[in-house]
Amino acid sequence: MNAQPYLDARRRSDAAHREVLRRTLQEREPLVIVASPPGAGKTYLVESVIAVAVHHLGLRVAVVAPRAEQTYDLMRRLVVNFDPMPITALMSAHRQLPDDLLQTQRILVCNDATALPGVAGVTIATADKLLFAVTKITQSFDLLICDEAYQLTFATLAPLFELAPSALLVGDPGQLPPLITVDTERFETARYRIHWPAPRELLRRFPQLDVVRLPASRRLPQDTVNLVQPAFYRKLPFSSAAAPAERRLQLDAATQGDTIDRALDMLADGATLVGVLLPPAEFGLEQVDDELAETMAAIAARLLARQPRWEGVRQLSAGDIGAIDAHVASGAAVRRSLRLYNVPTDACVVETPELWQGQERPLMVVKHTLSGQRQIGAFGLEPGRWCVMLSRHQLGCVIVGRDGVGDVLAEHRHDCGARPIGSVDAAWEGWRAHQAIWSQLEAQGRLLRIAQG
Amino acid sequence: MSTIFDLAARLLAYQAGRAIPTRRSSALMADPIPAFAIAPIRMVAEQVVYALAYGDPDDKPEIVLTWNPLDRDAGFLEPFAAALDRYLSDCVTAGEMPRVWLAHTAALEVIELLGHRYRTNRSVGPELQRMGAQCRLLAEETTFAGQQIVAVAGSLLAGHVATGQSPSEDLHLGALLAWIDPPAGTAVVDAAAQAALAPAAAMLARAADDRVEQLRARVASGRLREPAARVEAEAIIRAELLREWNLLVQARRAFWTLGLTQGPELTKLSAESFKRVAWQIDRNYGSPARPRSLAQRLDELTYAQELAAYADVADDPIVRATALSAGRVLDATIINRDQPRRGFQPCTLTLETCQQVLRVRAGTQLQLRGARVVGRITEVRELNAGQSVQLTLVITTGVRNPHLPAPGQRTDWMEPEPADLRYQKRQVYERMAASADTRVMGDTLPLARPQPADDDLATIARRLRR
Amino acid sequence: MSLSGARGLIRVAHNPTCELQAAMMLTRVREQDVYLALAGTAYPGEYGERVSARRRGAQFEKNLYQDGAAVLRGTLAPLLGVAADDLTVRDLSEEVRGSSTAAMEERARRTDRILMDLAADRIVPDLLIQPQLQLTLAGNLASAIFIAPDVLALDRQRHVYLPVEIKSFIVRDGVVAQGDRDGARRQAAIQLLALAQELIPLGIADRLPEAAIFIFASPFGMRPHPAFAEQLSAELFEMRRVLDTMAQVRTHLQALGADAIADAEALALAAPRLATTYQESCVAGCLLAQICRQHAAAQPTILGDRAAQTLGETIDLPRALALLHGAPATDEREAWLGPALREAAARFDWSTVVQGRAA
Repeated sequence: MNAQPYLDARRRSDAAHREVLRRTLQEREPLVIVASPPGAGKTYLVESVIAVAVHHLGLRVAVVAPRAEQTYDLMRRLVVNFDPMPITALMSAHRQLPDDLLQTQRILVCNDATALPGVAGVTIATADKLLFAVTKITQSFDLLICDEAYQLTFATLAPLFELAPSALLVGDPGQLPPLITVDTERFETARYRIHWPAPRELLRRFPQLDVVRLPASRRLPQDTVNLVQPAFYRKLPFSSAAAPAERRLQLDAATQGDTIDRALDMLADGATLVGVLLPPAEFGLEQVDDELAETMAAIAARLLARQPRWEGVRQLSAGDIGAIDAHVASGAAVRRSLRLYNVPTDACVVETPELWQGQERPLMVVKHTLSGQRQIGAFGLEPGRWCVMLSRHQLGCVIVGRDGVGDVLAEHRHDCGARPIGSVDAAWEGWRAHQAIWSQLEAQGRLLRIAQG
Repeated sequence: MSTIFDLAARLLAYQAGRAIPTRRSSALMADPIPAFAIAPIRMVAEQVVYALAYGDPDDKPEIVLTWNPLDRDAGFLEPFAAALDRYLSDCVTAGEMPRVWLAHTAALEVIELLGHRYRTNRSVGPELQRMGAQCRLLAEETTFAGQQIVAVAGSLLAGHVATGQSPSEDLHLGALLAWIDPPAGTAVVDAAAQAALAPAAAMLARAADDRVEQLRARVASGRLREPAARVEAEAIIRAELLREWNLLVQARRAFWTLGLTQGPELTKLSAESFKRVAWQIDRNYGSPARPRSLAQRLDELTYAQELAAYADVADDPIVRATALSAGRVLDATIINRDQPRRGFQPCTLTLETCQQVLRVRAGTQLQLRGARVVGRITEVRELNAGQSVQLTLVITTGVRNPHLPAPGQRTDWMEPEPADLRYQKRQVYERMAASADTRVMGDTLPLARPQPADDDLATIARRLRR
Repeated sequence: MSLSGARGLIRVAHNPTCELQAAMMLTRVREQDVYLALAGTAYPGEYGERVSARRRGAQFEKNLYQDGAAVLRGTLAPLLGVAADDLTVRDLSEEVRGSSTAAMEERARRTDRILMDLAADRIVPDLLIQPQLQLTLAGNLASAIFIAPDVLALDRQRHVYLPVEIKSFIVRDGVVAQGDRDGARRQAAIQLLALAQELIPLGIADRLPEAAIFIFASPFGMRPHPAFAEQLSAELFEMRRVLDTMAQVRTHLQALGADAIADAEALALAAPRLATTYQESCVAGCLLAQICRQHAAAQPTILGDRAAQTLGETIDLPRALALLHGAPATDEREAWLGPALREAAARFDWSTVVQGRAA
């Protein structure tokens, strides 16, 4: 096996990291935007910038992320990967740091923005927390870093710019956009698209800005990249930095030889995205497909029964398998089925794509968002949702659905009046991505059908 | 409403041959006395009006009209402008919530157009500019969920009843009313179809429209003398206007005849609405355009939406049942209350539920329905192989509340009343505007400020790692 | 009112499963005549564009085109990246007046010549007002229809024309009614298809992007809202599918021996053999909707598209009501639906309504 392409990918990736460090910390550009495919080492990059800024240059750095859990994760990595540096967690009084972080005694918790330390170091907060602190902060920072920037609106991020002359925004443009619950039609044609993901709005306003594109995914195998990149990241070419030898699934136990086993064998043979299809059936809009939930659980259970091993890395257990269902109700059905198969649901987590953003597992079982539907709605067509679902795995992902998705896609009638004037047709982009993924899986013989009965 | 609730309601209405209520509580506060109603007739595809009927909906309407709105003389609108201003200003001065009734969204669109057209129009006097500003204010108010000032009868009815026809057919107010109050001796489907033949869209009926157009064209070409044409056209327009007015009056009556209760949370929605209108009544605001005003508007809309959703779930048992089936309300029994000192924190409740769909995770905040008792979930445990779920809820607000539930009690928990952070956010946005950071609102980015350093930072970064 | 031109194709696009509608378009039989033939009475409601709306649209366009298309040039200049005064104009509606077939054919010939000049890299006008294109339906040259974009605007960089769709819809705070947006986009997509058909033999169809320009009205008199361009990939996909539908329906009509139909009575006679799939959107635009609705009296679609999707193809309204009232389920869907409907129905205070009706 020729490892050269993967070494090249890593070299390109290292070069991109060098560019970010240079432009952010030496050139001190006012705005650096990094577009990252899934698993390209965003957080690794962010920690590197923080470490150099604080340890080497003695700067004051503010870091924000959309969710508290993401900030805790960053704190953990800074504590584990670097020598002690001043880390301040700016958080509400009613929140507590997770126990593992408290036990490190390396993080100063600060509930009052006026009391933030004025020395070199890093202050970490959720974007909302820092937003409300803006009016109280008395000393500016040298650098503002935003992790998962595509999950934050421009309205949330814009007030933070005044805190630092330089800003680094790192994010994945293929993920779900920030959740806005009100009608944004009138905002869509305003001069400032404050409801858009912050990097997208900044790039609309400053099209000359040179985006740093991370060129390689360290998570996804090349086989997955071949499918996911053209479908979701047409403007962000990337390849895998993981050689097939590093992403090999071994199934040690014997096979029963049924459709599920054949799908798992395909994963072990290097086809990292495969589909298992139940006979076609239609379901009402809120109806749970219990049989499909049972099949998802059966696949997870069979994976465990076959003693999966990440070759050269470790034996895999229930905690190495994740499941995604875009609907809470049917996700609950998957959890129930997993329990019937004695798969612990505190280890084998079933969640929605929203909750899976930023996470990864060696193996994933995901429910096709269009399964069992006669008509497709905007929810199922949201490209970010499907992209998140197909890009969480390191070794392999089994897509489970009802057969007939191809027909539903072909018969789908596009709503030509839905999008506001002058806006991008996200539903069309989603349909195109779905169509591309489905037709490739079909053409490559990766859709395995469970016979009726 | 969820798909299955909507389907069940429509099936029942289909079977009964008349509409059935889909809420037990009203989403609209009772009318003040007097309310104000407006029925406009617009020139098709134009931004000008032929006529307006307005006034107390329990009384005969005042009417202003012109047979030729294209002559740009808007003076005929002045009595309406004065009446609207008087009504709104009197209400605001008296601290009472105004209520403006419109028949349907087409009428609302006309009001919005009047706002656009006259708010800053320098060819009209200050009275009409003020009318434009107030029309704009009313139209803007309808973009806030749960608002209580503008009652659009068609939308209100569609949100409170289900018919045995499709949602698209419900959009015609006449057809909707046929289902709410079916005429005797006629199948309701036929009555609705018959009603749908006449426009209910703030416009003249086709024949009337064509005739008025024809009259104007004849006068313009000198084939008809203006006085005769005017008399005929005005009579046509007046009759059509009264048709729209009567539709509005009938729809308003139909709504109040539903006899829905008034939930306590409506007062919060009402106060919000009043604050918005009272603040703007003497201001002539345009659309938000800068990042600060746009962000504030997005916050305002979001808060209104959350508050309205909260009020709906809190006040209406059917809405709550829908939320329960979607996992947005938690139906749980109190298993244990751990409160070492009565009336003091800490207070931890253990809840158990058999609900199939749950949307709670560690960190989720919940409020006890009907009381200011709020807590945060700290743990979710499955019991009996997932047959039931036990939750630990740390009470953060309401440890002294007499409604704090006791063991054995069955309780409904819902998303808490949304926190009102608009003031703090406004301060943030004002600061943002004052900073004038060009990344926020400039056309060019500020210049980089290079720091002379020839280090290879990537190598340093690697060295810094353990 | 015959279902012709772009308007007819848009109607077919909204319900491509309705063969009767496509047949009306192909045979050019008037919709109200088919209603009369099927119902036995004249259509009781209004149909067709109102005089007032037509006048408004015409006036809006006239304002754009007058004085050497000064307003049009000013509106399009920022989008085309060319100074308004530098935009050259040819107004074919002035050059060849009238709406006769002969006039349309002459405008089509002149449009062809300009497109040939474009392909040959000769100088062409930046703005071509009221050009005439032809679109072949159902792969049949005999059924070509005239498609007249309001304007074709030259993209100097790509060296190709883009359709400009002008509508007097009023843009309020950047918002245009959904139905208006839908119609304008589909209409522009049809113009793109027709333009592409014309450019293919000239070898320059690959220059044509999947985009068009739109000019709508502002709320202030007849002034235009700033022009904007949109990608129309989905709309093109949809309208291409309509052309396929037309071909299929033509084949079906031929199989029925009904392709030569030229009057409403004959089409009404053939109607029972043509599929008419009533759906929620039919109410908004089709004169025959009430007739089809009566035929679909017990079908879920009567209660709307969402109800139809929930009940599926096997459960009609009486069956759904039976399930709601406790009838035993016969399959998995019914097993889910019955209890769900009963649980929902229990929340409504409907028994009094039914009794009230009976009383």
